[in-house]
Amino acid sequence: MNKNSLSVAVVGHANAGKTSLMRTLLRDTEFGDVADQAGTTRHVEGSALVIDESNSLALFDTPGLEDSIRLQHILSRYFTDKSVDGIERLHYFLAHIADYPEFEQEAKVLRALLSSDLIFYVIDLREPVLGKYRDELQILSYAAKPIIPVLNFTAQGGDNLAQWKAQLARLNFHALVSFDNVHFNFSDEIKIYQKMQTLLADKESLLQKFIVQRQCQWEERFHAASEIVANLFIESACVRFKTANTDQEVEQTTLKLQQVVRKAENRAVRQLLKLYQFRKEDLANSQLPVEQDGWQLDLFSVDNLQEFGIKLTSDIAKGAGLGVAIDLVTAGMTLGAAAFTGGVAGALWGVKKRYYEEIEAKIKGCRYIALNDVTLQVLWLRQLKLLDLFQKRGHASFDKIDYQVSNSGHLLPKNWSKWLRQLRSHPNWSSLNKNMREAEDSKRQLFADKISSEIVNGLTKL
Amino acid sequence: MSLFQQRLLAEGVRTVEGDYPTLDSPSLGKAGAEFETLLLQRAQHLDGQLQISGLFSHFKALTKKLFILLSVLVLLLGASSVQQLFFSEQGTQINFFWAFVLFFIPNLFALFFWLLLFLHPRLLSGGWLARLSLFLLKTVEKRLNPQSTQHAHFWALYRCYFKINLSGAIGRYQLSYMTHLLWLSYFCGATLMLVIMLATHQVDFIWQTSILSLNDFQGLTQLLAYIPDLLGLAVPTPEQIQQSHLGAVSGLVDAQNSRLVWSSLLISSLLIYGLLPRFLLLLLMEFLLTKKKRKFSLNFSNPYYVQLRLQLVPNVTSLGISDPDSSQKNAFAPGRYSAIAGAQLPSSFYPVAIELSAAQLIECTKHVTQYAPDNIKYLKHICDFQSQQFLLNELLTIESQAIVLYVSLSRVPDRGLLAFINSLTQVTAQPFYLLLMDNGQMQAAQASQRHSDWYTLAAQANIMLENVIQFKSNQYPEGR
Repeated sequence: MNKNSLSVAVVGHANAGKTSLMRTLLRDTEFGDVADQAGTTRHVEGSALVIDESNSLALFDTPGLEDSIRLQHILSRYFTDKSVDGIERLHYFLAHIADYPEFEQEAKVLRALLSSDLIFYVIDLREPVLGKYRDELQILSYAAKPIIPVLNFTAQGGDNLAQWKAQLARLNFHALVSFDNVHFNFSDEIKIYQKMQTLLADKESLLQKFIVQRQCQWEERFHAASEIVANLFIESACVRFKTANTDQEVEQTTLKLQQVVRKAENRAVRQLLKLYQFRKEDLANSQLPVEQDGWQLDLFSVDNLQEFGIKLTSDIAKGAGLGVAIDLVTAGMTLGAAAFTGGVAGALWGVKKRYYEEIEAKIKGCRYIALNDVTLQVLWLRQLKLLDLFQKRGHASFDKIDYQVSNSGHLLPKNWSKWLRQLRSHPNWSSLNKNMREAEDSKRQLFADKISSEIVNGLTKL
Repeated sequence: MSLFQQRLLAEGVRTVEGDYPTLDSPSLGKAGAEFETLLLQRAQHLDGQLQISGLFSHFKALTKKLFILLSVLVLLLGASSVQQLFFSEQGTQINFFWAFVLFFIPNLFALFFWLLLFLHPRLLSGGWLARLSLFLLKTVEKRLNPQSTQHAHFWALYRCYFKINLSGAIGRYQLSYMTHLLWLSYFCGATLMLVIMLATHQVDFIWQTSILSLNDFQGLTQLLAYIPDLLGLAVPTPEQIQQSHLGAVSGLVDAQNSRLVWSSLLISSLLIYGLLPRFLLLLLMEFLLTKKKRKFSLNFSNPYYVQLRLQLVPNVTSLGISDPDSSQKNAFAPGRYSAIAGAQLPSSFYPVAIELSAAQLIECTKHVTQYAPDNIKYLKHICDFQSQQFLLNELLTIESQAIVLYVSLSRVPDRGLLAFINSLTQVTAQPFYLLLMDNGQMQAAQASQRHSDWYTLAAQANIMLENVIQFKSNQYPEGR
């Protein structure tokens, strides 16, 4: 490793969650082997978190310390005739490892300890404080390296927390951190790096840079994810399919609509999985319960009138502009009259552009099928739940991600109804419809940004 | 290829790839390179395969051709409007101020309208003008170039190209550039035609009014003539202005002079107040457009780029295995065992609790009290080296029928525990029982795995599998 880099040995008892910690910090579901049994990791394997082109934070996963009681006994028998530091005992043991073939795994851990700048000691908080753990801590202290005890499985092992804290304090380990690999919390990860800053004063600025970088990456990913969800919501709320007003046609169109929306949701979920670097198999099979509803445009709703008013004004302006263009062609002979006519034409064009399809459908006896409010609520809540689960999921977790929502206790954004009315006034914003206008992309993007910010703010408060 | 074109190409690649990067990234010179550098390199590399830049060059040429075509049409329009308005009859008179108004008021309106849209960026680039331009380009492309649409991603790339060039800040300047170019063409056509017509026709310049006074017109003309006069161009004197009033009589020599100065004023006004401002605005828009193109940046917060960054500038690098496992010797290697019906506990046994929590120890004590009350005094909790050694020594002296080891089912048996239990079974010939304490809170799969682990340990420590007994208790909490 580069001399400017930091190296950390991740150690602990067998099955304490060392490899899981590595996976979570590296955001890598494929790192090492994870299994619910002892002796899964049998070698020292490293990965580095890049800080910049010349600096990195190297993390080394180690085998579990499985027989610390006997190891500590062996170490304590050395140099009985003179006073030596623990590190000499470790070096002596490693120099004579050939005499202890059964401690091959422990030797690997000790070598990793001695070659690293810092040690993460992973504790399975579900475990009571046993003699073997006390011996492990004693052995680690021999390495004369800063140690950060990392408390794993905090959700299930809360009862043992006080006992562990007291024990760690007795051995002068005060810089402990709670970090649950399954119920991941990004702020806990940052606390680990902050503790490292405290213990490694000469690397403080480097670690600060690293912390800022990690936070940027985290926020960037969160924003990108919220953008995916916002876009899905817009796509789904704006989609509408025209159909003849017969039962058979309505049924067929409804089926088509359901397929299209489900496909869009699956696509968004795939994007999120890729973004968060989770596996496809992590998802529980869950299909959006799409309901159909014939959405009718309410010409007299306040929002529509407002929208209509705004459009009308701007179209008059455009129409007047067109009038000027007509005046130009006739070299000004019709100035005034053409501008006025243009204004009227512009207003009519605005009406036609916005409501032509509805009026045409009405005349031809057709109707539009769109997602109803309930379906959109479900879609919204599912995506929010999924995003929240992704944000709080460690990369070592094997639990299936179930983002099905029940119909109670969920809060919708306060602008929900307004959003829906606005979105339904813009069927051309959904690429699921055929007539999406690229040129209006900027307005759509602004709306997506608004929804995305709402998602970020909403989930951050949770 | 300029930086703008390279970035445009990267957007083209994004358009082809869709939601996230799907194409293989070639090996790029990565050492310390910025993400954008790598991204642009990747785009250039993939361009060979996707043929995007060729298509973009085609779109650029198409735009240029359309601009030229429109400019020529507007130039002809300007020329024809001059001819039709002022020179439709031989020996006619030109009402100077009406001529001026016809040229400049529409221009002024259009300029004001453009300014209004220009100051409201989204109106110009996201509205009807952009759509009109797109429509024209699409129509031309469909009608005149059917072969080019054979490219698999033609229309997607078409949308991508024109979305960038006709929307946002670039679109704002691009469309403004086009507007001024067209007006410039119009004025060029009009001025040229005016010069030609005035050179080949004799016209008298007059002014007329019903409500304005002579002084008003004199003032207006002098105001209009101020800049041409400063530039040394011939402009009408107050007398000539007075003489040009409809119905005023002037001599032949004066009439010729008057025609000359009024023609000079009309042409110079057209140049100075019509053509020149549009030309300057055109230059300004070109400058701003170039500047904007140089500043054009990709939106790296887009989910596609966030993922591509992870690919091109990974924030994790593997360091590999540094201390490999060379031997499986002494490993605690769990096999697959299913729980079997255990034997009954012997009537008398020596109880040993191994690595239990406080709650489990209470349960263990209760159990011993119930099944071997006489031996409760022997119950030991083994959880460190000293207690292990004490037990090993004591086992040499005890006379019980059997030894029952109380362990927690949820605890993962490890090599240290195996070594200790092995040493126990070697120290005495008494039968050993392994009593697995289960609080029933483990999930089925996990419980099954753990049973298998303990059976493996029993087998490796020479404890008969029938002597592995389940002890279910719901008394102690989840923990271990």
